Amino acid sequence: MAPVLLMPLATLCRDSKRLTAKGGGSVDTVTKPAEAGTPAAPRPEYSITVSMADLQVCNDDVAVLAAYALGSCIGVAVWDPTNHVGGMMHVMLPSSQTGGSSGWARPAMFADTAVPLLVGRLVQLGCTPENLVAKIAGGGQLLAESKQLAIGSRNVTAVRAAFATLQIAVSGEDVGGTKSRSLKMHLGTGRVVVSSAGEETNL
Amino acid sequence: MMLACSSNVMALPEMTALKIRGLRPLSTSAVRLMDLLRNERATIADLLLLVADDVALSTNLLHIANTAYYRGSDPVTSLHRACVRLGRQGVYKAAVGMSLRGVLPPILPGYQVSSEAFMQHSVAVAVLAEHLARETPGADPDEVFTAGLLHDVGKLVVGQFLAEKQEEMSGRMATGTESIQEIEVAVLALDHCEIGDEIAARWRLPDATRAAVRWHHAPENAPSPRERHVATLVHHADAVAHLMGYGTGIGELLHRHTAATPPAISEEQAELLMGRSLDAIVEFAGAINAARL
Repeated sequence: MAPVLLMPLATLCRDSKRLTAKGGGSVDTVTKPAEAGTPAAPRPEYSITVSMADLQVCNDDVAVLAAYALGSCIGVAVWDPTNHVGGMMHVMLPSSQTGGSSGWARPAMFADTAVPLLVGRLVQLGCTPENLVAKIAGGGQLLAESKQLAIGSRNVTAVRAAFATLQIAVSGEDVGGTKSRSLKMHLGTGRVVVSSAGEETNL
Repeated sequence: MMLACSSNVMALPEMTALKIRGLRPLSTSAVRLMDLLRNERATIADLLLLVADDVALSTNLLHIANTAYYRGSDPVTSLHRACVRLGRQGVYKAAVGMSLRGVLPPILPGYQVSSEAFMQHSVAVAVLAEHLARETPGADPDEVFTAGLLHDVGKLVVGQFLAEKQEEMSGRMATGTESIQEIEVAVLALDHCEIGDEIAARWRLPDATRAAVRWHHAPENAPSPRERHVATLVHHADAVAHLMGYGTGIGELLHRHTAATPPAISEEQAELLMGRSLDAIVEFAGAINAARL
């Protein structure tokens, strides 16, 4: 099995000034414990939080990727059932072209750039695009009669479009409405769970 | 209007007055800084004198001056340099932020939100409103920041009433059709804006802050154009903060936004605002939540 690769994209994608910034909430480095000579007891699950505008990929069976308090953001969980490698992103905005492309050095922030980036990282970890299973949650909206501040639904449209471009099917969705959600993916089994107001649903 | 309480029955205004008096006040330093800022002749030396008096504040200001939100090319190591870098308003913002954190209970009753999440929401609204104010002339961005930071202060008292009606509140929230503020009115016949206004008066908060506290859910009702302007900026910032997931716990998106009052916020503007404010929110909220009080 390939060694654990965990991409702290927030670090990769921020400019050098941000490199030392604290408080981003993202995991910087997580290394899998060295394999001992004798088979040890099963390692306990551990959670990796994917912060807003960040993405993480991982090939550790006992890792759980999680994106919390999604609001109008979208949590995207992508998994390859053949090798149990997966990734998650917490996309904030639909398009990297908003307001002109200059000044944005954060591909994980936008649906149109984050999706190909995540898939690219998974391919680097040995995944095949045809095998990938994608599930998405979030894209909520406020209580409003009109369609103002419809960032959530634009995010949903943009994420779907980005996967369609790569010919990857989105096989599970829990999007829209006024629910705030959290998304978790268990890498060992590929189980994806959406929780909202204390209720959990398998996607 | 009467509100039945667990042990006794007391007229609502008396109950609220009692609870408002029962709140821990903002720190002495924050209140003294407010007075200092009202005095146009105050210098950075006056500021330094005041800050040096408060050991916790001094330590935390040094830390905040070195966050990416403020950081220049060199690290700041002296209190004097920290005050110069932050400026009068920056020192004040940090002091008010820490002061707000100081009066929060670990879990806000009724809303079931941790002090950390409440602080994140407050800072998010502060930063977003400040950025909006820079784009839409008509209000001082620093004043708007403080207004955003303290806009939900009424929840400190309203939450205590809501805690006694938790079941009714949860039931209404589950329907997903009413905003949290509308639920407050339905359940208690008052809301956190109204109560917040009384707290703002008692704490002698600046006018812009008081306007935001009172009118951030209904900026169109603010009596003067100036109050309307600040309340509208905070109203937009509040909506964007909820969308970003920096809500206040349960019922994250049960929040009503209106575009009725100018300045309007366009879709593109809202998206840019989110993208450009994210790091500042994370940094500033992190610094305040990490501060040793």
